[in-house]
Amino acid sequence: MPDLFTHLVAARLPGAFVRDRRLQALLVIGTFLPDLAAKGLVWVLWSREAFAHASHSIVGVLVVAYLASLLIEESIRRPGFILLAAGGLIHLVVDLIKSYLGNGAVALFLPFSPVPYEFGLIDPENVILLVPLDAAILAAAWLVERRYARVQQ
Amino acid sequence: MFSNRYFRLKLAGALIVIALLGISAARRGESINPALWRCVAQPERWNRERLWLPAAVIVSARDADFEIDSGEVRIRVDGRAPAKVGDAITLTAIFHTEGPRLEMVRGRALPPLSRLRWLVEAVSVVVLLGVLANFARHFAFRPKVLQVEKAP
Repeated sequence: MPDLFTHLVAARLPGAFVRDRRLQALLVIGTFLPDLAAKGLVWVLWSREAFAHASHSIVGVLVVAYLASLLIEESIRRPGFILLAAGGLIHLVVDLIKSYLGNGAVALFLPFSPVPYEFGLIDPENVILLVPLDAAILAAAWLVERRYARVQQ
Repeated sequence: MFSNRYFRLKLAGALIVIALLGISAARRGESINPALWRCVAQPERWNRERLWLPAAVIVSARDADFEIDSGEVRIRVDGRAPAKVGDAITLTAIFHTEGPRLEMVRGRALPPLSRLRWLVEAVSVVVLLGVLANFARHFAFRPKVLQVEKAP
């Protein structure tokens, strides 16, 4: 979990437009789900790293989001699943921006194709440069949310 | 799909699908970026496979090749060193049984900021705690199965 702040900000920005705070919290948790699933498999269950790669695929995100949504009460399970899955998919997009020398960061289409993809925009070792930018975006999202809430009143 | 009907079946089904996805990923993704120590341990199996080394230190360098230490393995790399001796680098290379050795495809020095990685990880831990605290404000976890309803 080297750059959870970036993942948080990436989910928090669209989250500013979600009125229900519970669903907003699920969107943010959803963006951590792929890493929580992967680290849980490798660190807790001692599975091989290749086994955990499925958590960072589109199908993997949908299934993990569905499993997590089953733990939510029935009345908000369907929107909960949508927000968890949306958070997970945002996570994949953020991971895609990293550069792994052309080796690919995310095998998006597992189990259909094991080919990993990347946009290659930032060195994973340079994610610290994103921290001030993330803080600025988070502040902007907070201000937008406050203004939006005031208009609603 | 989202109702409480057949709840346990749905839960078990999701877990089984996740397990099958993991097995499929482990099988199909095995040959993608194999670990260097695996290549050295089974050179015949991984001959001419492309691999990615996230971090290694250059321990010596000559005009046409250099030696790296990945923390697990020391190995010679054909190609011009992308940084000075003692610097940390990342590279993609093709593994060759003879030697064994690597043939560099792309390589670059790790940026000096990588030393501040601990700071990013510290921020990440704080973020995770904050998010979990926010989550706990909106949701309560009440596992019925473990609750004792009545005193004996």
